[in-house]
Amino acid sequence: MTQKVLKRITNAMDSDKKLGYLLIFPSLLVILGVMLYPFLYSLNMSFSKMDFANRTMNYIGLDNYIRMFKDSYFINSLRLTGYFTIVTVIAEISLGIAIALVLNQKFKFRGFVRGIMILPWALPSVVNAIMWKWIYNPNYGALNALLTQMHIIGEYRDWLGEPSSALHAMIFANVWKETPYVVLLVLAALSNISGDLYESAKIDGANAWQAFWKVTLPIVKPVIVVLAIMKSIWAIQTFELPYILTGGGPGGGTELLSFYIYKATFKFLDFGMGASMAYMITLVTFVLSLLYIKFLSKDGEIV
Amino acid sequence: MKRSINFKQVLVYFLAFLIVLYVMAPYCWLVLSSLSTKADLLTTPLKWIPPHITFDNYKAILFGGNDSTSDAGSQFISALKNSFIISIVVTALALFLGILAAYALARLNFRGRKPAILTVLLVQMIPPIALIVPLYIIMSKASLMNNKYSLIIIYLSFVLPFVIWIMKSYLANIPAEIEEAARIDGCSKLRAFLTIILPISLSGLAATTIFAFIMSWNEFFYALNFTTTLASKTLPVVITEFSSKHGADYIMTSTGGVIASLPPVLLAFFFQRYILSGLTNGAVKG
Amino acid sequence: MLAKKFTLSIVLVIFVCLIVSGCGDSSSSNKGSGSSNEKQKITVLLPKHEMDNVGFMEKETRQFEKETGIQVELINMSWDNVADKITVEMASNANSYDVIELDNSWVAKFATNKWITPLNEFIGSEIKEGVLPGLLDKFSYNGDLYGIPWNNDTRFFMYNKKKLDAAGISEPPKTWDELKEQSKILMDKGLVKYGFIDSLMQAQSGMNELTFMTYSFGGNYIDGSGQVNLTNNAPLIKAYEYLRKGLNEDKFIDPASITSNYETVADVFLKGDTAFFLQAWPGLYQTANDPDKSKIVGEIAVAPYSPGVDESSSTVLTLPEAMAIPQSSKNKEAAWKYIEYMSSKKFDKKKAQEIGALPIWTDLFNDSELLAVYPYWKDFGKQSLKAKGLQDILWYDQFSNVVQVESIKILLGKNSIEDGFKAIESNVAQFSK
Repeated sequence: MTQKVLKRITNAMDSDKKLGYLLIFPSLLVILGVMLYPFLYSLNMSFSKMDFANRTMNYIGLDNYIRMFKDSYFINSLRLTGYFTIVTVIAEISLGIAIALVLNQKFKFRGFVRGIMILPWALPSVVNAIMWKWIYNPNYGALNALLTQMHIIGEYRDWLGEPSSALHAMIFANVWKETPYVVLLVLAALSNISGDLYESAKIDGANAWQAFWKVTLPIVKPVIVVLAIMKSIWAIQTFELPYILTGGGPGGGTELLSFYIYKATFKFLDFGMGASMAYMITLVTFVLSLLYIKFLSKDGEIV
Repeated sequence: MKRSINFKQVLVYFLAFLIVLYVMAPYCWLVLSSLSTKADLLTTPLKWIPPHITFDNYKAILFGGNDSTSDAGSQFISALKNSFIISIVVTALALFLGILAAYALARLNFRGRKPAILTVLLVQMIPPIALIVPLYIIMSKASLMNNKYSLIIIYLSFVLPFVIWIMKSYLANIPAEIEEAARIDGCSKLRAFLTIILPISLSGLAATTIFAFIMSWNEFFYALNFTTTLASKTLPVVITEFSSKHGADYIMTSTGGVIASLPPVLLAFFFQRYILSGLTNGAVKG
Repeated sequence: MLAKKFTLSIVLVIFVCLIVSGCGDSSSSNKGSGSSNEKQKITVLLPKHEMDNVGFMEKETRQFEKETGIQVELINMSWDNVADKITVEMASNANSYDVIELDNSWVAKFATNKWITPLNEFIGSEIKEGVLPGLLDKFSYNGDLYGIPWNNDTRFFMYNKKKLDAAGISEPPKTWDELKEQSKILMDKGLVKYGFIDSLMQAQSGMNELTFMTYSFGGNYIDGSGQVNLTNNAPLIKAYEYLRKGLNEDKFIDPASITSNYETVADVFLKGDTAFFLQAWPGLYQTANDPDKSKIVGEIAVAPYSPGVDESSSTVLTLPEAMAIPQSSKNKEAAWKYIEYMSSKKFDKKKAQEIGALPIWTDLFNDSELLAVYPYWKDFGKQSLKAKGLQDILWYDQFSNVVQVESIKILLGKNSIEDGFKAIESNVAQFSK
């Protein structure tokens, strides 16, 4: 009996089809088991209203979605998230390319400098937020100390005390953490460029600036496109920074979407609208993901 | 000509110095804060090199715990333990399951392969905020809240797709001839994979392991919502509580932050060669 | 052959995983228990008592364990974190906690949704007759008592007497105008950086401070019929004008107020950078006299009154917190034992002695031993006659959020008072129906 079963398993293992299913089944079970049901459940929730006293969910159609677009705080956080995403992604990528170009030059300790690039990337985002909160501290923060000692500002300021400066302080903290990732990937792409290309560009009479546009940029372009999409997806989902750094304040000036959804669900118990807003984010990320897939797949095949 | 080269060299060193400053300064300040006394840290004008270097903050946070459940020391130690257990178990399980699935997706030809690849890619993009409430409801109904094992399963759901994705790209890069040669020797497919392919993709394995560990170690959102007790709370959750509960205790928070950042930062630093190859493989080549 | 190996390796890996995770679990669950006989365990979720710098609640919880054999996991977090945890926990009918925080602004919501257990059957006549009636009243809804107070959190106006003396000011301010004038004098003489710093950060603490300001200007966000009516609401306009001018034009209020929480405010005051503490918790008096934590030892005093536009509008805030038992708790008996222990008169007195918390038992205010340690309580007494609580309405959390967000825009000058008030009204209208 056991012999027979074993034999059948052994046979199965050499057929692509059966072996394939056997191998991916456990993984898909875990992934879909955790994600699929909640994903559908919250879709259902976005069309319902919770009645907490009677513990029932009542279907109310598109009401949550309509309410959502009438909610001025949602619109505000949508706007903020858009701004945050665009500015961080542009800043990360341009700064990342600039740093990568410097680190692509030959100099002593280059290995070390490249090595420390990994630090912000590996730092837990919670620690990143805590670190910047301490640096921005209005009374004892290092930023205030630095700028006053350099006589750039006259007196200590509350960097997180004004909506626009708080938002930009948050953007800076995010850019600091996320840029090195861009640097590392661009460096990897740059290492594929052979010196010959630059040589021939030089012979053609191109200066460094032209060489950058004509030789470097086209080669790193695919990497940049993919990075821009991925970075946007992560930026849209930013939660730790508003949660720890500002609590969404002041005056709702840093209330990014993820954080506002969190508040709507966990503070106001508006599960329905929380779910409909979460689906908005999901929709946007899916569109971006499709773009991502399109760029990855060459000849219509995702390898 | 020679002078311009020198100028260029100077410029490169200057820029490199600025880059090092930009990357290191914030973190160094965190480390210095954790080594300072409160009195030194709160003086104005601020001294950049603390006059009294002290390890008391580390002692307090690591060995200050007593038998209680709410003081900072015991919270920290139990969270440290939880974080290690969860990250290690998640990494081990994700590697085991993920490698097999990655092999199937990279090497085997079967119907449903493409949808499976798409699924693996797309589930990584689902924002956790869209899952959190249903998960919360399900878990509380099943009494799975405040439980390390629930957290492990949830973490698997996003670490696993990532592991599959990266491993798949590594495996796809290994020439099919190597496997075929083994097959001619009479190996079954799986055996050829386990004994021949896997050993030569060790660098990929190393990268994947580190990624999986860092991902689970740094995770905050699920842990924040699903754990409140000593037996389940992870490090990121506990250090954010330091910053709110102990309000002005910047030192404790810095110290906790430094300790929490050490495992991922050290791993990343020492294995950066693997991480680089992992990043390029996972993100760009697909 | 291969299949055997394969299955074997799966089993092995799973086994290893189980061992790894298994030891972790046993090590943490062993903690504290030790003996093998079955012990009851309860989980308690409370914010940290703002005056408890010595681990008093923790110590007493361990004492309770020893006396009753009931194991307690005490979880402390910031008030806002506790609030988030508890509301969603209640809403999803989870059963993680046996004793929870019940804030004075939650009673209506929690009781109507039947999230917490009425305590009528548990309490004896001693509590009914001995605990401050105002407190019990605050935690009752439709005739049922839902929570036993554990933190009689009433706030008081304190000031730095030494600095006022140095500036030649003989009496603390009685009105808001006097407070402004005195701040200016103190600042001109270089005695302080600012008159005061307030905790207006976008969080519940900010809402508390704003509520206090509106009360002490003789106003209220919510009118007698439960409506939010701000247009042409003269006292509110005055309160906001006062704050806004103080922050931006007259600059006697620390601009860092916008991002400060209670701890920061206390830090600044204890450093001697400000002279007034509008709404200090009782224990701050002791902290201010502790040389380890304060640079103003021996300098502060409790004013006999809190500033208002005039004497009639003088108000102090009372924000009592209670312990309640969730409906979903499976250990209600043990939970009650814990609450009973933590609210007993003996415990209450000890708490007053060790951390300076105000008692919940009426006759402890006349206790000679306590009055000997806290002579300034008699000044508290005068202020507490004017104590007022927060609004207890079903949609308090949303309301509070709207007011926090819109008020900061007004105070920063991003929005006029008129437009800001309109924004509050229109945003509140969605859920106050």
